[in-house]
Amino acid sequence: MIIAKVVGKVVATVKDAGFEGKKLVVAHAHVIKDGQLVPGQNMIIANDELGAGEGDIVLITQGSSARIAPGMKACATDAVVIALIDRIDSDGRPVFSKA
Amino acid sequence: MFMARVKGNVTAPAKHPTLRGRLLIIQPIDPIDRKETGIAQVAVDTLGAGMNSVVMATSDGRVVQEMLKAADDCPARLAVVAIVDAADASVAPATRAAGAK
Repeated sequence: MIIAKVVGKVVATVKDAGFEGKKLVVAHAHVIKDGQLVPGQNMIIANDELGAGEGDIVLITQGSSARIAPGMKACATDAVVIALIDRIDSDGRPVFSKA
Repeated sequence: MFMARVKGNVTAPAKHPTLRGRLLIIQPIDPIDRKETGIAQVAVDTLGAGMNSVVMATSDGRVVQEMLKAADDCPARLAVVAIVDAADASVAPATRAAGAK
């Protein structure tokens, strides 16, 4: 699972039926480096049913297990936001905490 | 899922019987600045995405099997699941060098 910052959203009219009524966010993967949460390389698109706002730090699960998240069984997704992160600690020190 | 631009298509008369949809060459792009990232790949398309259109692809094999109604003997792994109308970012992505300070 990866930590990512929600940076945008995707709108698509023509799509696989399973995506009907589903919200899609653009998320920028982040990594913990030297005790800091820093931007990584990848931008991924994920389903979000938790109402993540842009700028939020979230937890994303990928692959076929993404479809085990609630409401995703019939959706052709491989990435789902499964948590809105309040705080991250690493090596005993806070790396991130929601304002 | 990732975003990509349709660059071409692949026709293969001799292919695995489950590969019923069209085969498109898709080039992964950054959803926000649309720059090319990563290497072009071949994806199954059942939505009719046109040349140069921006699509969203999934790499979950189970999904492709379901899209092609091919039970579990379909070897395909990448499928177009949406044709993107718009993608925007109100939060400008920070500099993207891996592990930038």
